[in-house]
Amino acid sequence: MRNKTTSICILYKIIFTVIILCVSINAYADADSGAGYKGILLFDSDRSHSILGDVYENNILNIFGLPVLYSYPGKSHNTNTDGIIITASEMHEDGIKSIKFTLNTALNKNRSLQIVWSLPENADNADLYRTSLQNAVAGAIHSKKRDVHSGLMNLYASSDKIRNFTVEYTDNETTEISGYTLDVSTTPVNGGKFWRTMGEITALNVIGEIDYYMKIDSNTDDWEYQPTFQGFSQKVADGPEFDANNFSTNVAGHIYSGSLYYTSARSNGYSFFESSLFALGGSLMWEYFGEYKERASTNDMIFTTMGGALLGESLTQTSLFVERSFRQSMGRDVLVFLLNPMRVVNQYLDSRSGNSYRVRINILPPAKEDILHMARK
Amino acid sequence: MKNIIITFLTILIILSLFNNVYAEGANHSSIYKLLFNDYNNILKKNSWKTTIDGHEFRAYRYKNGYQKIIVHISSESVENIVEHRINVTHNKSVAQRSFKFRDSENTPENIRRIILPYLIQIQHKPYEAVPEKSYTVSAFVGYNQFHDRYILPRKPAGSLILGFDLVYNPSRFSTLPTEELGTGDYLSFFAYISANSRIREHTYDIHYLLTGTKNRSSNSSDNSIEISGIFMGLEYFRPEANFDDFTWDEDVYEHHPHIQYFVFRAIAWEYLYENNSGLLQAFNFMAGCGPSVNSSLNATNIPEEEEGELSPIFRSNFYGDRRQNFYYSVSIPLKIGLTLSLTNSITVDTELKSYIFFSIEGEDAYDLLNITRISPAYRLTESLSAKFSWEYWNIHSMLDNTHKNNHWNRLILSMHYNII
Repeated sequence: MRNKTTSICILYKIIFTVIILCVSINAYADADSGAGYKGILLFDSDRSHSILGDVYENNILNIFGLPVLYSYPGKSHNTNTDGIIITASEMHEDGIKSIKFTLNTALNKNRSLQIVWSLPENADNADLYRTSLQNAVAGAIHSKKRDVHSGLMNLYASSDKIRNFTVEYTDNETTEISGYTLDVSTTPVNGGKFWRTMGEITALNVIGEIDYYMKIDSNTDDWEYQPTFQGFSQKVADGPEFDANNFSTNVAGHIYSGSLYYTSARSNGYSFFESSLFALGGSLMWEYFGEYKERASTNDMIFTTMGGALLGESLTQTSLFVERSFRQSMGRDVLVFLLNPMRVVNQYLDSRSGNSYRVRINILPPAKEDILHMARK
Repeated sequence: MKNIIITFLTILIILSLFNNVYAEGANHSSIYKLLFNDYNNILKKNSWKTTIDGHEFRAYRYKNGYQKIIVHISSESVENIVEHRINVTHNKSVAQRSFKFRDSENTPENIRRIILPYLIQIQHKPYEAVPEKSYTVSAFVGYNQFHDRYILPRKPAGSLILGFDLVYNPSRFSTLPTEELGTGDYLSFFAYISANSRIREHTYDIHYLLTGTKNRSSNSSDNSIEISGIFMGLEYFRPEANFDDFTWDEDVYEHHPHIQYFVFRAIAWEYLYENNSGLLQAFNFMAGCGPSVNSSLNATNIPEEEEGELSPIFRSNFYGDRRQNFYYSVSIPLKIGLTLSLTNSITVDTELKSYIFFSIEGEDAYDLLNITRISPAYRLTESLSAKFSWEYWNIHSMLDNTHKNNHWNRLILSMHYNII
């Protein structure tokens, strides 16, 4: 009995020690200690066009717990520290102004890391400047603690914003990676655009409301409630029922409007089932707010949601078929618009938002001083 | 002894937590397994379906058409160098690359660091796409006429119809013998409208796969594909006559359609089979159920003075300008179809559709509708066919022990053009 107790005690000690060890290792590995860097130097190549100055003044990179310095041409600064150097300069390409950011730092084993990316110069992009700078610094710190590869693999596995990924090797048979290129989207690649979808569904219901009031004579028969809070409360309390509206209104009109809700969500990046939920949301909005004087309709909610989803998916596939099978022309575009207007609207909005940028990550051979010198220049 | 075993097992579990395959010199199979597992985790996030089979990794998905990735790794050691050869097939695009490691550097960690990025980028690289082939689409134009008791029409009272038939089936070009299919991996969409101001008729039928499997048999004597699974669907049929000389019997109301229905198949089991070895043989079966809306003969041909006595289950009675009747129901639709090519030019298509609609409201009512169709078609050119269809419609309506029957014949002459 005593032996048994001793063995169990030893067992628990082993397990406890292992747990403590694992926790300590993880805690050490994940500590955001700046990986031994002594600071971050921000360098604007043109003082009159201060980009990193704003970053410095707004303490955007202070989250890493490292001293942040700001400099510009003509101002003396210490570049002998083992740190991260970020430069920003204005670029003109094809008549488009952009800001080129470059991060340089030394890694372990005398290797150097360079991250280069460009963003369109636009006041609306301040948020994008901030997140891309924070991601780049986080990547540099992670790369120094572990390696560039594990940082990138973690990023790739966890991010839903990487549209494209390529790796480059120093030659055909070598086992050395010289760099990576990432196309990063400003919005999730596979995720949906919630607020845009909700805005479009609301707009569709507003158009429906205008149509409803243009045909007011045929709708007054169904009015039961006053447009007051009490009327609305009564409507909610009464709940939905099967309605006696026209057959074609019920199973053609409502299903078509459901398909518009659905295709709005679908063309904003949502899946079949997610888009069906938006069709349900659009239907509820219409039944409770669009037709606020009428009793909510059970059949409308079922058929608008699921009928809309199935018709919407069919129209989505038909419009995709047209897009893929015929050369671009006015006729093709008109046909796609007739089949799936919400897709065309969202394609236009996507094209206006210019929503991806390219990040180039270079892993440079041992030449720390050269890199620092290059950055200084 | 028991304590020793427990301690031994515990240490084994602890050691496995540290993943002993990181040890230098681990065999290639376990290295590949680690590499493929990492790759698998990444692809699965992007809706790929994957299988790992020793040195081979297979993945496929139906996003923007059919995509297939096969990665095969083999290794060879010469002196103190290990060479890993990666063969990649992405649809029809083929790539090959070798990675050489010194023995001391041939660790799982190094291999994952160097080879995993190479594998990850495959899904982003351009490949020979087959999206167009995922679709089978035809458009048709025809003349369609309903008649009552007689097969051949007595009055020229039909309408011109325009329609199309689209099938999205990316799995038909995959060569894997068995595949799991997910939501949206099969869709068929059939619709037509009549281009006639006197008789308007609209219909559509949608079949959307939720989950299922595809089996392919591909050899010299048998080239067949079968898909089965759970589907969702939508079917709509509504004719509207807009002239006085309507051909149906007892035309009390010239604007009154005798039959119309809408079925949302919330769930259906479907089986599709197609054999293309030699002449085409195709078979399909569908059984489903879901909420529906349909008309009844018991609310048709009612004199205006008797309308007030209609059962309250009928909505939109012939009051005011609402020229229709229907009731809410739950329906069980069944469908069996068979297509046989008799020669290279002649194909016969037959179909039996049956629907039973049960009222979900107060009264004891049901409707049973059967539609039988035979359609011989003659192929004029590679993409153009002429088709003749005869349909027999039979309906039995019951309301509170009142039974009514009616039947119609329908002829359709049409020309079909296969776009793809």
